Amino acid sequence: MSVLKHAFTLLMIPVAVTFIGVFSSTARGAELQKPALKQGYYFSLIPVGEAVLVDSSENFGPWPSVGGQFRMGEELNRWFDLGLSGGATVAYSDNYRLIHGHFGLDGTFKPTAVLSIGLQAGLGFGDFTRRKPGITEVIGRFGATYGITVSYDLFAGSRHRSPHQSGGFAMSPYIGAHIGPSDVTSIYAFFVGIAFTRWTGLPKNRLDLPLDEAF
Amino acid sequence: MKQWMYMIAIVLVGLYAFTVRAQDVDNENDTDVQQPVIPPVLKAEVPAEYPPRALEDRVESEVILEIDIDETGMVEGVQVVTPAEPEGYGFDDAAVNAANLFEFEPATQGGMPIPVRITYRTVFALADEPLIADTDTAENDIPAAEEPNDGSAIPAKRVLNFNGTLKERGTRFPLAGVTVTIFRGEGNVAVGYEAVTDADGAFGFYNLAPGKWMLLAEPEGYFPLRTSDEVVKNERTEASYYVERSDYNPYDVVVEGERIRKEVSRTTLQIEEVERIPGTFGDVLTVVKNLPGVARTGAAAGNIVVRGSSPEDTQVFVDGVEVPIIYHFGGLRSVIPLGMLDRLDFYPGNFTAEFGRATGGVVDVRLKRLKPEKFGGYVDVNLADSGIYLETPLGEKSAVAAAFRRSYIDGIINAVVPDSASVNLITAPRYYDYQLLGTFRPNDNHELSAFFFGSDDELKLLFENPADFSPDLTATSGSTSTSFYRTVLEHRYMPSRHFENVFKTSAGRNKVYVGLGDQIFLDLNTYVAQIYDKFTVSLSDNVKIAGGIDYLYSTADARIKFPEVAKEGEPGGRPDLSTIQYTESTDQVSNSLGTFLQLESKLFDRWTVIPGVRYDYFSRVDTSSLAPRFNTRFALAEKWTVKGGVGVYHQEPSFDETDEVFGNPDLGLEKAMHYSVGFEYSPLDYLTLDVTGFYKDMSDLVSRTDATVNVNGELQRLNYVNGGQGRVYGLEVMLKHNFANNFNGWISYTLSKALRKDVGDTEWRRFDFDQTHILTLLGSYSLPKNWTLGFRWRVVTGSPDTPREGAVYSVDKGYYEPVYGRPNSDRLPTFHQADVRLDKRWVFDAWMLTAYLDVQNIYNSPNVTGYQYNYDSTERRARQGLPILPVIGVKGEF
Repeated sequence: MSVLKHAFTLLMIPVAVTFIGVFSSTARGAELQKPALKQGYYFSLIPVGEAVLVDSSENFGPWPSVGGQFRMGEELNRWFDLGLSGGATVAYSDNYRLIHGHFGLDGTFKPTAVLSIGLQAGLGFGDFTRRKPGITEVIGRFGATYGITVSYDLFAGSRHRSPHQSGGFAMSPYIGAHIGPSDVTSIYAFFVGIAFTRWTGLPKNRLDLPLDEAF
Repeated sequence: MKQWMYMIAIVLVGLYAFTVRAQDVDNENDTDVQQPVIPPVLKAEVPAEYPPRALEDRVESEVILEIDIDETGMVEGVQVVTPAEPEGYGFDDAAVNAANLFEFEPATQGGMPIPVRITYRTVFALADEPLIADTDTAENDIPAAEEPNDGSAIPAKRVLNFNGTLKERGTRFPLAGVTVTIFRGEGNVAVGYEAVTDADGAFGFYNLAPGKWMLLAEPEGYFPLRTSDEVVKNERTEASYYVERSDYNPYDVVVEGERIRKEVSRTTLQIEEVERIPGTFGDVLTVVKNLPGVARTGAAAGNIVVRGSSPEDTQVFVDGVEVPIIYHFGGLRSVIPLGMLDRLDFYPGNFTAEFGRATGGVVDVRLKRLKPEKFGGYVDVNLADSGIYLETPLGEKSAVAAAFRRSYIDGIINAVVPDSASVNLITAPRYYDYQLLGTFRPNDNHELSAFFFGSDDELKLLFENPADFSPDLTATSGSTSTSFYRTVLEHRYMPSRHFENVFKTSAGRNKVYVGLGDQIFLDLNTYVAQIYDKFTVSLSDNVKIAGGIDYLYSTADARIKFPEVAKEGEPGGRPDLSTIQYTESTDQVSNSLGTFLQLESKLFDRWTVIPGVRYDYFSRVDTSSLAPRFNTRFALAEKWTVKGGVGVYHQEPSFDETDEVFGNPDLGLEKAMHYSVGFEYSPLDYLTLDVTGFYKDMSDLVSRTDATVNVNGELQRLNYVNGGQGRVYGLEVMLKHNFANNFNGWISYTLSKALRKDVGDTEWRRFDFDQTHILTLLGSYSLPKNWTLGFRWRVVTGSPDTPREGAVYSVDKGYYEPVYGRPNSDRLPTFHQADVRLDKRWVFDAWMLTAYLDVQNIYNSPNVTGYQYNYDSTERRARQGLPILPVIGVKGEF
């Protein structure tokens, strides 16, 4: 692969850093925050259904598969969360078996309070076994994987929450795609699922609270 | 913002709060203003007279005063801030009259007395509910001086019944000069007091009524401390509080100022600024490979190639002591842990006369001068190894630090390599290192230190079928090990600012073994001792003379049974086992003596000239050398400096090249001339641009030869002669952004050409590591909430490669021998790779935990490191370097 082929990936890094830097500058220092639901650490479990396409010497799929993903990290500011993500899915039939997964960095941009756009980059793996009469062909892959996800957050019980509540529990419709490009075997996965996310909220001393709740 | 805080502030009064009176502070020295203010101490408290009518009516009250205290501790003025209630009993006048007669030890800042204003509470309480007086009070306690004078009442008996300490969360450093507020109630019934922490972070409150109290501290740059505590009647409440800094930036500890630059080319790396660079595992020495002038040597190469010089041409010193290796296996880790280091100086060329025995560059690793304020250290755990570092003060004049690290890659590899593999790893690879550092400063003039350190690397493997590797190979096992230790004693003598002498002596052992059973082996055991002394005399502010002596002694025992191995410029390929020879020697003594003298002079306040000369004697080749060197810098303008240098450099051939069997004992020294010219531009405080052009002319390089010589009627191969030549020229650019605006990093670019001409050749050829373009972009960005994101991207011209033009079947050897093209006439494809690192730090009361994910080669660039050929060299397959590799680690600091 040429240098140019990776230009997009290379550009992503400084662009992401600049983006984070611009929007994080307002969050420096010891300024207290207004309580909000998406605060503190988060942990998501996401059952997903996938359509996977394997691009090797010939195209295979798309195969339907099921599996799970996780995302964990921390809210850096109103606009951006940072953490790790990973997951795996498996598809099985008489003709094939496919196990596909990833693990890596996860950055989430939040253009609105309830909409999240995640970008992932990290290690991916795929193990694809194709069965034909008398032949079992195994195609393995180990390399970089990139992903993009979009989710819409619905917070449970938000109508009844305290105005000073930090953190909460959200269920989010979740769609996305993972791409594992390679000269030999590439994997493309498109998935939908429901993300169940717990936000821990911020400690009281990081929040701007009324006196009766601050201590 | 925090409206409730304003409300509380209106009704609060202070028992013993103080503020520096801004109009009296000398603001010329910002450093003093930032130092904590030590509050005044009341040394003569005059009891307030209890108003008779109040005593008669059994009325209690309190008055809040503000007292102005001058630099001598005398009271300048008293104002009533909160008058007594109920009014009309004369409490206010009684309190003011008494306060006007107080005497204090004055408040101080940076050791200097300063005027302050304090808030003081006078309590008028009747004697029927006395508190227990406790004389075991904190340092800032004010003696309770108010005793009952008429037997019927005890006005304002002062009892410390709440004391605490305020420390920084994670580091446990005391927070001095912080106002601590304690209060309860709201609105008209609110009551509260303030205290200021002393140098130990201690504070106290007196005569607090029993019950629950809210405690608040909001130091600048910290998240507020909000908590509550219970005060129990007739008891003293004691508590420690930890306040969390808003940002635990690792660069906060970089406080050392820029040292005066003398050399044309020197890059200094502070430890904290490079700890979070991706792909380095937090190891400062591996960061050297990202500096201008340093060639890329592969992920598993533990050597440093500087400005077209061979790896062995660059010397590595640990606090001035030569060490045989600086990296463990594969260059993954250096042999000195981060905690022991202060900084690293890298000289790619034109280094001053202080450094010798090298024609390439110098890496000078400096240990930190131990001055720990508390017992502390860290534990570092990652996929490759685990290490621990501890340091502690021993009284006021001594300190000690110790560290140990051990790898477990062997366990991981053994678990991953399948049983069916043709190689079984017994110990693969294993390394550990250890260090003990102690310092003693009996007074300001003397500093003694002792440093003991060592390292041990080992790799053992079994071959199921050795013929897979070479048809001649019969050995079924192989191993390699390198170990060394050193003991260094140092005395630094500084009788005045005009003279300094550093005397150092070290002793230790190097042990190297490489072998394939009994078929091939090298077993080298060397004892070394070194004596070093350097003096510096400052004749004036602008003229300094430095000189010294550097003596190195070694005695070696060697057993060597080895074939001819490929040297620089020769294709690697399969070793020809028919060339195996054997030699054995004991007590081979080698001496090297070096002396140097240099003048450091600054002319017209902007022109620095450093002429110097170095003399060396090398007993192994029985040759001495004289090396004059000259460096200069001229400050064109405030932000512009031009610089240049020229110098002569020598070094002796390697051990095997002067061996009687494998080499030529009559070899002489290798020589290099360094020329550099460049400029530095600093448009901003944190931004520097350094551009240096260089030319290096190497002569008398050791080169292989087939020539023979008649020794006692017998023709013997010379093996090597000093007939090689080298020529390197190029341009180095370094744009460095020191830590500012949450970012630090640099862009380094090297454009160079490195050529060699071997003995007998008429044309120049490429050097093994001739890489025309070397570009590195790296940096780390400090994000909110103690996250750090680091990145590194490298693009490097592919290294030269010697192509195979075919193969000829050798009946004698039973395999095809490759036919090579012109040495290094081909190139590997361009190398490019991006690495990303993410760090997150969690802060607990007494320690901090940092976890990181370091993803190397994040876009899985299939970089070619070489080619593997089939049996007759008609087909080849690219050997690829490191694939995408995520590494996770954690580090606990306390």
